[in-house]
Formats: sequence, structure tokens, C-alpha cells
Amino acid sequence: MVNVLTGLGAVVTPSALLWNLIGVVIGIVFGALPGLTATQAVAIFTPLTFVMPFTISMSFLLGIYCGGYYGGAITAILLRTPGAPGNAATCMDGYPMAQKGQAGKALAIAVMASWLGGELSALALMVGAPALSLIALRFGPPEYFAIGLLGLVCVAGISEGNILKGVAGGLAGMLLATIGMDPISGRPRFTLGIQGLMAGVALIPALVGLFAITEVLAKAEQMELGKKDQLITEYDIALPTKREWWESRWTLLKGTIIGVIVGVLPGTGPTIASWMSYQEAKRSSKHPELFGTGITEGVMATEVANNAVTGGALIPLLTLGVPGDSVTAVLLGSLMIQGLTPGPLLIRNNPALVSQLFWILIIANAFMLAIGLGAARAFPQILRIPMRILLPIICVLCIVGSYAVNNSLFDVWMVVLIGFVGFVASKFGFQVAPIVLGFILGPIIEPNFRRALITSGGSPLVFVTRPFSLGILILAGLLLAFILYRQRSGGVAGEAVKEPDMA
Amino acid sequence: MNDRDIVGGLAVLVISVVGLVASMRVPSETTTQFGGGFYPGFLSVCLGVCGLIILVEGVLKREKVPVPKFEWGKVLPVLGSLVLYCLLFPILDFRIVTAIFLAICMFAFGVRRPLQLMAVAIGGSLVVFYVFTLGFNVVLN
Repeated sequence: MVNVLTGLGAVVTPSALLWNLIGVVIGIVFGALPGLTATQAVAIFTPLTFVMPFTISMSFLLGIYCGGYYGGAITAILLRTPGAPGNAATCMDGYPMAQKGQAGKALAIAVMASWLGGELSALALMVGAPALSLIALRFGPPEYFAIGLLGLVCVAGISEGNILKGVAGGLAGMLLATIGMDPISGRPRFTLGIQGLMAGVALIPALVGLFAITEVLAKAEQMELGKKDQLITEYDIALPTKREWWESRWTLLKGTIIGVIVGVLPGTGPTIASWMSYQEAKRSSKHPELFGTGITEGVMATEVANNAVTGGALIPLLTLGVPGDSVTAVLLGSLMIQGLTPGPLLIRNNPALVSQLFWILIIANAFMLAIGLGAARAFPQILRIPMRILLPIICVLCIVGSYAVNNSLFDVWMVVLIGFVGFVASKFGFQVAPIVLGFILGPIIEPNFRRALITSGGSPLVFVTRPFSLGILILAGLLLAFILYRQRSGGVAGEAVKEPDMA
Repeated sequence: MNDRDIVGGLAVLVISVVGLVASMRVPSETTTQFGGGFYPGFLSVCLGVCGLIILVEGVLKREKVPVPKFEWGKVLPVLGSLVLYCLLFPILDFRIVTAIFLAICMFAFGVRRPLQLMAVAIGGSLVVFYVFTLGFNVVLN
């Protein structure tokens, strides 16, 4: 208790609060711009923290961290262009909500759910750090493969209309992710001798191409020259009702738990958490057929989970020295700049450290809520710009954002190519979301799948003889069976469910 | 017959065959049977099965769904200006190439007022340039 109060006293100083606020604003801006992510923002601003004391540097960087994970939801909802991979799932219901004139409400829900997930995950960091990190310590390749497989089951869940096409899309995404360096031997694979493919197809260009360029081409096709062509002509600024919150209480709780647990597992991150939470919300919903059509629960599920990752991802970082996601990987460097070496001894030697980080997260999320709610009225104005002006500007942001990741012109070409392929695929009923999910999960599944088989001498029994791996695989099997059963029994209205508007 | 699914299934089959052939050409390590081609080959086979089922379902379906039509007249100008943008990106100054792209793309979408075209093209390119270069330290020529 003394440590908790000491931590609070250390972080509630004018300079720490100011830097926390600046960090949140920077994080939201980076998160909202397609191609720029929270990871990049933390990486860019880490050198600035050289000269800062520990509390101020962490206030600044964790502010960026929290703001960045929410910021991507803004463009995901308004433009169907996730600012960051972790917000890709928010497109599923956020964008349809904006199309229905509920952009302000969707943004308010996103920030409130993000706030809730962030605050609860900070609590999880404070309370559950040692226990959760002990479990994660036992995970090896079979468990990570099983987690990847569990994430892949989500493909079936998010495949509206035709599960088979969704699975095919997921497999195509996984196949796309195999281009580049073989993760085990380090040899180039399917690169066709092209230098730009040696490191594989980069995630941001693939995401921007599949979500944004596909949508731009679809919108261009639908556009009637000379007609009023705003993406939305009206929007509300209503906040979600108490009843909507109450009805979504289990979705929010489960999303938070999923976010924290996924955050704890090294090498995962908000993308997997948000898809898993979305799938779970849909699975357990009384009206699963409404998911994807623009319902509040869909936005809540994804946003609560991706921000719940923030606290969870700090747990293995602080206790094991293993980053839970890409941002915490950069934060690892930031801690070392401050002379701290994350690992089992860090908390023992610095007992007030966790409580300081806890309060920094609490405050950062509060700033994020205030800024997000204030901006929920302003952001939808973007969509009142006529489409004939907005679409070219989106194209420029996509191109520059993708170029900015690696300063690579090759990535820019990939955006256009993948966007065109995504557009053609969507016309044939293959949705882009499963392709994206397969592309994200592929690099987690392949190395762990092969490593597990290699270490077991080729025996697939390795996946079912370890209790954690077996448990996760059983869970994945049950989830898949449930989804298939519900589709057959008409729970999900099969072909009757509308595919995205570009189909 | 569902022509849309027949063509879609065929396309998936072609991708899976290409993937399988390419996987078989990946040199395998001598120490293990699970070389670089094993996993993509496995994925290609699964993809092929999916493609085949989509194809067969498309043939057997009673409802008639035609192959989707593309409004190339609307899509190609956008795609063409994107390709042109990529081609000129490394050659010309970022501000100039972005202004050209914005102007061409907006013109293709039906913006005809010269003042609007110029204002958005020049203003947009300058805003993007300075936000990314000064704000985010991105190097844009």
C-alpha cells in the first residue's frame, strides 16, 4: 500500500502530467495516421528521453503507448483504414456505424472502451504481474503454435456469408506471409530475386493496401460523377446509453481479460487480442448476425481488448525482460536507457516501480478519454469532405504512410498491388479481413509449428502431450465446432448476411 | 450455376498450384524434413482443397450468380494515377508529384473548378509534406 501511494506521489507532478498529456496526443496522431504506429512513435521519441528522469520519460512514452493504441480506431471507424494493425478489427463494425450516420457515437464508444480496457489492464499489471508471468514462462513453440491456431479459428468466425471463402482468404494471407526469409534457416524464399521481398511483405503496406486501397477502388467504382458524394452526410454525437453499456458488460469484461492475457504472451499484441475478443463477442452474442453491420458491441469488443494489451504487455517486460508486443520491445530499450535492466530482479530491487507505471497508465488512459471524447465531435467532420476530394487525399496518406515505415518505394508498389488484388478478391466474395488475419498470424504459426516438430523429431504428438498446448487446442476445436454448428443451424445467416459493401 | 464462385474457385486453385510448385522448389535442409518449403506447401494443399470445394459448390448451386462486372472506366483512372504517382515518386520532388497526383485524381473524379483543383492539390501536398517531414522526421525528397 505504501508503494502504491509513493508511486502516485511520484507521477502526479506538473511536469510528469504535462509530458503524459503530450505523449497521449502524439500517440493518438501517430495511431490515427495509416502507416505510422505507436511503435514508431515510441521509437522516434525514445532518444528524447535520454535527458529525462525515469518518471517523466515513462509518463511520456506510456502516454504515446496508450494514445497510439486508441488513435488507430479513428481512421478505422471513419475511413475503414486502420491507423495501426491493432485497430483492423474495429473496421468490422465501426465503419458500418459511421456509414449509418453514427460516426460520433462509434468514436465515443471506441475511446470509452479503450479507456476501460486500459485502466483494467493497469490494475492487472499491478495485481497479477508475478502469477501471469510464471504461466507465460512455461510456454514453448507448441503453445505458441496453438495460440496462433486459436487466432486462426477467428477467421471462421469473421467470415460472413461463406466460411470456406474466409478460410481460403486466411490461407492465402498465411501463404503471402511466407514470402521472404525462412524463419528457421534464414534462406530467402519465393523472393523471385527481388531485393525488396527479402524481408517479406511488410505488414503496414499489406494492411493499408488490403483495407484502404481496396476501399478507395470500391468507392471509386460506386461513385456517380456530379452527384453528392460525401462518405456520410450526417452523424450523431450521442454517447452510448447506460443500457448499451449494461448489455455489453460481459463483452467488455471478456475483452479485457483476453487483452491482458494476450498482452502477457510475448510476441503477440493488440491485433490478435482484438480479433479474438471480436470473435468471442460474436460467438456469445444473442444476435451474432448483426455483427459486421455496425453495432456498438462490435466496436466495444475490439477496442477494449486492444487497449487492455497495454498493461498486460508490460508484465513479461518487467518480470522476465521479454517484451509482450512491438511497443514494449522499444520500451525495453527506453528502460535500459534509464539504467534499469528488466528481469526477475527489477521489481524486487525497485518495489515502487510497478506502482509508478500503474499510475502512469491510469493517468494516460484518463487523458486519452478526455481528448477522445472531445474530439469525437470534430473527427467525423472529415467525412463531410466530398469523396472526390477525400479519396485522393487518402491515397496520398496511404502512400506516404507506407513509404515512411521503411523509406522503401518497394513498399509503396506493394500497397497498390495488394490493394488491387484485394479489390478484385472482394468482388468475388473473398473478404479482406480473413486475408489480413492469416497474414498476421502466419509468422507466429510457422516458426513455432516447425520448431515444435523439429524438436520432437517430427512427432505431431508434441502438440497434445503438453497440458497448456492441449488445452488451447481443445479450446480452438470447441470454438470452431461451435461456429460451424451455429452456421449450419442458421445462427449465422449464411449467405443472407451481407458482405461488405464492395462485394 | 454460380459463375462468380466457379471463377473464384478456379483462381484459388491456380494460386494453390503455383504455391505448391514454388514450395517444392525451395531447397530443403539436410538436417530436417521440415524445410522452408514444407509449411507453404502444406498451406497450398489446404488452399487447393478450399478452391476445389468452392468450384464444385459453384457448379452445383442452382441460383444463378454471374461473374461480377468491373466499372473499369471509374477504377482505371484511380489505379492509373496511383501507378503514375509511384513512378514519379523517386524522380520528382515530393511536393510536385503529390500535387500532380491530387490534381489528376480529383479531375478523374469530376472536380472541374480550377481554383478548387489547385488549392487542394498544392495545399494538400504541402500539408502532408510538412507534417511528415517536420512532425515525424520522415525523409521525403
